[in-house]
Amino acid sequence: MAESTLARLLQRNARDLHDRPAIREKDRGIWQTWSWRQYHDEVRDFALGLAALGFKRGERLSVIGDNRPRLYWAQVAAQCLGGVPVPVYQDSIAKELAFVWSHAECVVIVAEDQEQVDKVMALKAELPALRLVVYDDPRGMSHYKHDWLRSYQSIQELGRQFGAKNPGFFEAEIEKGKPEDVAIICYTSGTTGNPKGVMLTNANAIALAEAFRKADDVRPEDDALAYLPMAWAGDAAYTLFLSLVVGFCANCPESPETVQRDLRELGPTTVLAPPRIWENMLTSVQVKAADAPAFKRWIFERFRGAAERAEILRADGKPIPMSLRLACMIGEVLVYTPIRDQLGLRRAKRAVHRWAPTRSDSSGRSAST
Amino acid sequence: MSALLEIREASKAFGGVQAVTRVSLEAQKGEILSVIGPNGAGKTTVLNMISGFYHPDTGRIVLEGRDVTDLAPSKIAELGIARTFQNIALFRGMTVLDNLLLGRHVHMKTGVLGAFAYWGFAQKEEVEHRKRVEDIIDFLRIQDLRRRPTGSLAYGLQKRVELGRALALDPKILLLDEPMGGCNHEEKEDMARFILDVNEEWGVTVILIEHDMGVVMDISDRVAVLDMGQKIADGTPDEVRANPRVIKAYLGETKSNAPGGSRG
Repeated sequence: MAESTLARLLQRNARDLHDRPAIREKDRGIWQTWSWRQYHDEVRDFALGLAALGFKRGERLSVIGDNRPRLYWAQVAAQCLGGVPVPVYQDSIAKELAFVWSHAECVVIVAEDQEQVDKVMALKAELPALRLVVYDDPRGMSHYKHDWLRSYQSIQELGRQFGAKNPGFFEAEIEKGKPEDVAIICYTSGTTGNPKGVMLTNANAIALAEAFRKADDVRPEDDALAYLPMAWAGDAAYTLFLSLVVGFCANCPESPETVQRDLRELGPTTVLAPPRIWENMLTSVQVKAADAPAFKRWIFERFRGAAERAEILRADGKPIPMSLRLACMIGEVLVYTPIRDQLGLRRAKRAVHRWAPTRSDSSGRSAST
Repeated sequence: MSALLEIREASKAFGGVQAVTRVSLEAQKGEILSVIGPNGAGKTTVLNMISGFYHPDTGRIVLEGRDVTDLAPSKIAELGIARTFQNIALFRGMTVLDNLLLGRHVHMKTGVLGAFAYWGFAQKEEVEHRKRVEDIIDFLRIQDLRRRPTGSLAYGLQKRVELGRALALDPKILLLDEPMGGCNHEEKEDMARFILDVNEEWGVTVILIEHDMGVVMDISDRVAVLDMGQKIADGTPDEVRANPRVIKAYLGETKSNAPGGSRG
């Protein structure tokens, strides 16, 4: 790995993987795709816009909202300029946000929509460092007139003008980046006092992603669903670091309510979820099984038991008897594949649950392949 | 400046009941006009006259300088007046998407044969309509409900879909008959937001019947008050709130309070 910062990885991907899908967003019911080339250009235009408005190396940019390509681009744009993204939880209350934003001294906040901009406005007086608020979705914003509030598009427009006047500026800024520069600040949940800002350097981020890649054999042709909060270190690791390192495609669902359907439609090859999500999936399957007619329920229970016994033997390193193996093969056709299909895990090569304890009857088991 | 929509001295009687008596009302382009009044004041009758569902016995209704008094409801819809109903009128067995596409009906030009062949123009047209409907789905944040039959939705969501269907017409004027009736507080807030956004961002003129005075006073540019089929006041929310005749209509003879929160 020659590239030592995330920004250089972006340049490499734009060069080597140019037309391969980098990120998708479901919009108006259709998956819209951006290639690595387009990803790079979107990031560049936004970064140059920030630069034109005086964003300097080491300054902090926060994003708040659901998983949206533009919010990811804003974070990478900050990294390209040597700045530090600080993603925050989109459903945080004002007090928590005020703490993080003032603690990190964020100078720019990129908000998804009016709802999030309203939160920022309510806190504006408490945030002396804040100079610029950018919104992605213009809906409902026509009456908001402040010199510190701008649309995402206007920043990119500004960036294109700035870029025309300062050719090579963007590349020079990336060139200045060092592996020991802080790449992101992820705040802890704050269950035991005030949240603490965890600073990850470019070297940390890339090492983390490399470890992931080795452990799970992640490839550029993989697809992942980016549906967990951007402020969660796991999403940053997957959707930002790992996607940049490996060059796979991150997919943003249409809305939080459509995640389950989008998951099924997309059939991602890699699914990252905390235990809670796997447990929810398990519950939904069990509830539906309990509602099924007696015969179907009998089949389901029978093959579920077979899979469990086989999995326990496998985990213990014991041989699996021929009869059980046969049962699992039949179960694959009758039960396992249809369930995986329903859950959107049909193409999943790996189902990862990390960063939190699971109950011993791990629900990930029946889903993992 | 001439009004976008004018009701001139319209009256309507049903048998011996005089529902509306010589009511005149003007809606200016781009405003939110609320029509309020106690039960039986004739609010819905006025709306029905505008949408062509009833024809006034006397008086005229003029849209952009054109007399539309005697036009059929379908003609009036084509001219850009869309409405929702007090009691939801959706096709319960059809999906949200189909209900909304149905709202595009007046804009559809493909004939039966063309639609059957589904080639060239027909296909292009359908894509255009779908795009417009998707804009509305996005606007109303009902992406997760596209394929759900409307009959299976919660009441507040059905109200939202009905608004969507009216919007699918690309109306100049939107007539809303109690869009928040029976909704809980949160649903009311959402609906108020949608009405404001439709008005501000899409420039649609809104004529609203609503009983929730808090909402009416908050979002309306102008309020007209009907009582016993007659218009008794017309003005900004503040003017109307202070009008003694309005207070009397709502609270009887005791002149103690403004009509705050009254359910009529």
